[in-house]
Amino acid sequence: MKGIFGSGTNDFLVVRISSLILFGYFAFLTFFIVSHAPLTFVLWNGLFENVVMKISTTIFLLSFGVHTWIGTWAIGTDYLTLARLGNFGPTINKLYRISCALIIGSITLWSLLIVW
Amino acid sequence: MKVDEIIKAQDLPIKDFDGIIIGGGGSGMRASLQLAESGLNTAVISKVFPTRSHTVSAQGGITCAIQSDDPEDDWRWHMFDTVKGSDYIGDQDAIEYMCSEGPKAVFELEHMGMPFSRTEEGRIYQRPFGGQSKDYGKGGQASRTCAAADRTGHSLLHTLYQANLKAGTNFLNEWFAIDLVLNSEDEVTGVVAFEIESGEIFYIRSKATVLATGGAGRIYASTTNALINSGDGIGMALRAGLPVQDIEMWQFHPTGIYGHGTLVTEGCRGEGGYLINKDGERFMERYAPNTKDLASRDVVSRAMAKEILEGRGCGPNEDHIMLRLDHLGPGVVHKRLPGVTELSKTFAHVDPAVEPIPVVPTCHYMMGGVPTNIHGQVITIKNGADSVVNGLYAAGEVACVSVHGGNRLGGNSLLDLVVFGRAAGISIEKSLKQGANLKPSSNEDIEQALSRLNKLNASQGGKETDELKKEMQNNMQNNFGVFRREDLMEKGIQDLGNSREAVENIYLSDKSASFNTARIEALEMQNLFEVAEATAITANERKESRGAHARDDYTERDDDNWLKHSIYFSSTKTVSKRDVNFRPTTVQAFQPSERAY
Amino acid sequence: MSATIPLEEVKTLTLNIYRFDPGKDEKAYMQDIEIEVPVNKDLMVLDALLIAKEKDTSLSFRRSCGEGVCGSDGMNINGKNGLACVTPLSEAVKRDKLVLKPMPGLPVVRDLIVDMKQFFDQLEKVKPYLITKDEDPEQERMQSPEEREELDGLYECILCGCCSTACPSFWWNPDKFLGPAALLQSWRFIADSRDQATEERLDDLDDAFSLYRCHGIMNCVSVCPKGLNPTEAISNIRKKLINRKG
Repeated sequence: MKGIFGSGTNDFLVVRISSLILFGYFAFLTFFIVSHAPLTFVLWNGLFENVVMKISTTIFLLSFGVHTWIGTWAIGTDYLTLARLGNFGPTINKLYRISCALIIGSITLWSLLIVW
Repeated sequence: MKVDEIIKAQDLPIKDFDGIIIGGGGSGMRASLQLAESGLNTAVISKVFPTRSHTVSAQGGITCAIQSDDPEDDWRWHMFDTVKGSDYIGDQDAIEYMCSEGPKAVFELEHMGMPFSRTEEGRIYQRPFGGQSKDYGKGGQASRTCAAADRTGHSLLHTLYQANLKAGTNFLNEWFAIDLVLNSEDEVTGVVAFEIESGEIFYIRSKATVLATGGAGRIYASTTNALINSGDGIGMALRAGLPVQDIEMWQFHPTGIYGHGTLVTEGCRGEGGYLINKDGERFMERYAPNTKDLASRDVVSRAMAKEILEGRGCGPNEDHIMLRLDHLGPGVVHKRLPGVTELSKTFAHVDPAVEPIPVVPTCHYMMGGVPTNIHGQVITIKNGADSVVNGLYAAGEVACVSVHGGNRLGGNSLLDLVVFGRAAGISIEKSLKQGANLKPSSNEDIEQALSRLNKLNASQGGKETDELKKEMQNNMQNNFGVFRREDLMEKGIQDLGNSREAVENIYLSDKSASFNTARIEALEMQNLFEVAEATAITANERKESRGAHARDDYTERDDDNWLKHSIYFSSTKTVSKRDVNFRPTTVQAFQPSERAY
Repeated sequence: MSATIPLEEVKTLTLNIYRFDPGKDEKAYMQDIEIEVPVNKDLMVLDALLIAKEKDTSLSFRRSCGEGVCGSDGMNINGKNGLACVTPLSEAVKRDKLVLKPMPGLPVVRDLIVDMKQFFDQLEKVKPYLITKDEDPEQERMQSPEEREELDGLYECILCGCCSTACPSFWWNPDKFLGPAALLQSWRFIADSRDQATEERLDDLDDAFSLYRCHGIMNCVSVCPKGLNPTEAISNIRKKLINRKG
């Protein structure tokens, strides 16, 4: 397995960089909420009407997508395997992957739809 | 076919190789590397994973005139030291070969990746060791022992394993060799061996068989040797009707940790450490005024034993000596001797940079062994003359080529095993290229090699291994130690004789097939016993004091009668003499003279 | 090193040992073996096992040097991997109990003996030998003391398996994740100024499992009987892998 993004190092970097993006985005939101307390709907709505914010949120959502995809894949290959679960392992793993794909995909897509 | 059945030769499956090496220590893996690199189908049969072999415990280094510490150093000086150290019964053609080929063999190890310690110039670090001199004893102490900190054996063994992986050697790891298979011409055609894990047993047939089974220090109750050092090669050779040479020569290392036996390297004294008695006196100044604590091992061990016997030992029982290193400071101790620091803390509960280490002379090395020539070919004696045993080679501690004679110098064992492991490989390669042909062995021949196992499997009662082993070890310890005398030795020989039948008929209560360590220990015990009896009978026969063989009743060296190798056959239990080689090819022979340090 | 002890003051110690003989046991079980140990001398766990084996010769375990340099007797001692020959009873025995099991994660052959094939297979994958492209010089290759110092903490590994069998990532993927021992060896050669195959070595490691399955749990560091640090070696390799991206 050369890695989802072509190599182990690429995967590692994608996970690390996406986690920085996630952290940065949440940090900004926290800062925004705290500095604009009491927060109103108008303010909140205005923030997300901003194009820069729309692009940032898109990057955030894509980061969320790849980060969780690689992360859940790693969990699956550690725990949901033939060696650990016996003959049902691969099937359970497949079902798990499909559920992960559905959940992560729908969260990401749905959120993108909301943002744009 | 499993090892727990009564096995018939005709049912035994066969594995074929060009060359097999019994033993995965330094000499075995150096030999196998030579063969594998030349494209021969080579297998190492090792009863433990190769890096568990006893070479791993060697600490101080590998002595060799590579001219790093001293650009003027000369292999001839090393040769002189080795001849003198051997108390003149080392074969000078073999010593010449080892000392002159040594640098090549050491540089090869470096090329394979061995992590030697380094000098500021980037060369291999060399430290002083006992018995080393410049200019044929006239130029003072030399520093000739190439070191990888104090883990030289570990570094060497792992490097050889790595090189063998690279070369594609076949490893039969955790296989136990029972006995050699001979043919009607008394040539060796292979070995009967079993895989310890599964219990599957085979006749492993080969055009060349190398004994590289190491030492047998476990014949003594107290030894620096690993639990696996059971003289398997010696046992196999003696049972095959082959002789052993100078087997009475056992080295007692001055510095085994008191109460435990674990070795601390001579390099401790090389780096400036010294021994003291209960009065705090540096007593080696009295015994060896010039070289003091760096006199050769037999001299230092005897001096220590004497100090203890004369009531100047340390501790409440006045039964050990102290090794001081604390004056060197933690810098030197912890950097140059990290392994010794670790062992001292674990087994003696002292930090050598702060407190002295309690030590006693402890059985360490078997100078004798299966006689070979410098090509590693095993020699037997027929009608009083040397005769090569076709198909059989030996190298390392099991062999007696003989470079150590009556006493081995520190750092010469690692050199011995790489130089002669390599030499055996080279000569096998040559002989196979010339198309060496051995007559096939018959089923009766194979049956012979199976008999010991079959007897064990059929055993219904009798003494078990542990009891017999303890008796033998205590006997050897009490009657064949640093000082020897006739009455004790005769008693010891008699006791051994009384147990022989029980040893040949050991009772094995657990007869299971898979990883049955009790079966292995029983087979090992029989090998140990062969070594012990050979040692005992030969020691009593050599009526002089020479090298490590020190007798209270014959205190002087007797060159008129005993400037000879001893040769022992177990079938007749007789000792004969064999000439020492005084014919090196490129230098004048060193003639015996008084040996003072 | 020797099980022979003088008959002085002794006390009883109960060893609770994992037993399994494939020739006769359907499944493994724990067995109590009572032994006598001296009161005023601290034996090693290996000494206790040797005494137990005198009582029951069918008890099987590996051992060789008895001084912590050969790596034979790695086992699980009261829940923690270690070498029996250098673990004193005073340290190992907790609440008068000494539970001895084979190292976890590898198939058990018999009693305290595990099948280490997978462990050594992974080691071989990192090409654990010096690779050079230049011709060998007549003498040794030059290496400064500083360059040589880079190998300290790496070359001392004795391949006992304590680390890899304490590593959950190795338990879960013993065929894909190389494990701490093999990765330490990999770094031992990458870090060697004489080795000329760094790029190939890094290429071989650059997949999702071989190295990157290390989650930095550091069990390897806490159990290593030689005090080595495989986690640090792994992170050094990772740094090299990332740095060569530019």
